[in-house]
Amino acid sequence: MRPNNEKKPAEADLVNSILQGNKAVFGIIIKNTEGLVTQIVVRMISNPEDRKDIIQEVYFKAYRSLPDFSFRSKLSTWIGHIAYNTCVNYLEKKKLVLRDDLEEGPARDETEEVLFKKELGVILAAEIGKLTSLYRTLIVLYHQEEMSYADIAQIMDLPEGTVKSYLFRARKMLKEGILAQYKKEEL
Amino acid sequence: MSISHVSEMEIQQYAVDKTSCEAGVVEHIAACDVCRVKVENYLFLFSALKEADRPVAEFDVEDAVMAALPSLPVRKESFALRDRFVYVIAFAAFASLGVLVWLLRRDVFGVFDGLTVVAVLVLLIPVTGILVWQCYDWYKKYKNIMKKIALTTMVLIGFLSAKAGDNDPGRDIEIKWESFRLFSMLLTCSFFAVVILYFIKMLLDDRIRNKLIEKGAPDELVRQLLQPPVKDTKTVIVKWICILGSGGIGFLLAEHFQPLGIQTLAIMSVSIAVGFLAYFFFLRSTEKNK
Repeated sequence: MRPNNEKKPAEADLVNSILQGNKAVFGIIIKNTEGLVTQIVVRMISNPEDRKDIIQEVYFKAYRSLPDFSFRSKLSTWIGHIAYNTCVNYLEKKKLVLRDDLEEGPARDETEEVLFKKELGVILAAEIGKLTSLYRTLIVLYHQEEMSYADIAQIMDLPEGTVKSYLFRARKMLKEGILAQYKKEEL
Repeated sequence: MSISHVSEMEIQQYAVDKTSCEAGVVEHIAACDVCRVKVENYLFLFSALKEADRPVAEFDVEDAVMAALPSLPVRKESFALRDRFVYVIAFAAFASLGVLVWLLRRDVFGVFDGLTVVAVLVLLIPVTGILVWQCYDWYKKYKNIMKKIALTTMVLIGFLSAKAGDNDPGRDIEIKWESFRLFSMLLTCSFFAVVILYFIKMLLDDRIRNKLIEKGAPDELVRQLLQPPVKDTKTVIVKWICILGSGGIGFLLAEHFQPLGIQTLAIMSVSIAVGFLAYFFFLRSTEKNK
């Protein structure tokens, strides 16, 4: 179904080339993983001004740690893990709450104006925005980036069972949120 | 009468991957309109998620990162733990070999008793070939150290030969079976010692790297001197294909031209020589392509 931990053959060549001093090759790695890193950072960090710094920091960290990369996971998963950790560290430093309201449903009274728009994309984006950053990240990694449970578990440092359980709750909340919006609009 | 529907988790699981659901769940959903609607809601959600716009960075990530990319640092963490590990492994390997040889000393010294000279030679030629090959590799890498070792060995051999010559005025070149067996045993032991020496080599490489870093050698230089072995994988594989392939062909030919005799030695020697030659041509063509 989903691609598992199969390492692309080109990854080793890319990494070795950079380690031999060919800096420019790192640009290819950035291109390949930019989407994933942006997804994680955007879903985790609400302040758009800080996102730029965090994305750059993620790649600097990845570049500095490249000699230690041991190919135990895919390169993209490894960089995704760095991105997730960088976001968590940032949130902790800023004393922002990361895993709030895991058990309770999110508040739904802030975006009343959005609710009247009929476009599914807008409703979906609004509902995703109402999830906690943890759930948001899980949802986009699984359903948009099409990563396996195992890869997500590696990125987020969570047991695979916990990933499945959180994903179940996140999907349920998302589905109920969207259905609630449609019902309201129908009334 | 109340109808028992499948759970929300099973509904989700069905929507994510129908094939991983139990047959009962699949059958129920196929027959139950209520559950099928729930599944369709999830399928609708998943499809909407897949088609939703992905966030895009508001700046050119590649340009911004590449412009400020620092010089790649060489790993500078302490190797103390790894050093200790290598020491322990090397000590354990040497100690086990020593204890084993001591415990089995009678068997070890008598290991070639039942074999003919030719049979022992047939075994020894590939072993010697591998040892020579490996020593040549090390010679290239540790030229200066190896020169000193070779010089010391030659002086020692010369001294011992002179002493032996004093005891044996005849100085016959004839190889006695006993000394030949001793030589065979020593060569076999040295073959195992080569394996142990690999651990020492690992240790030396790490120590050189540490020294270079401590002395403040530029990162680029350290990287060039001590490249990880990954890039030589192809060469190493070809080398072992040549060694083992030529040895194997030699054995097959020796088997074909029975009985064992002087021709067997010739076959083994020529096979291994052809292996060397093939490897030489491979290296030369690789150099040319570079």
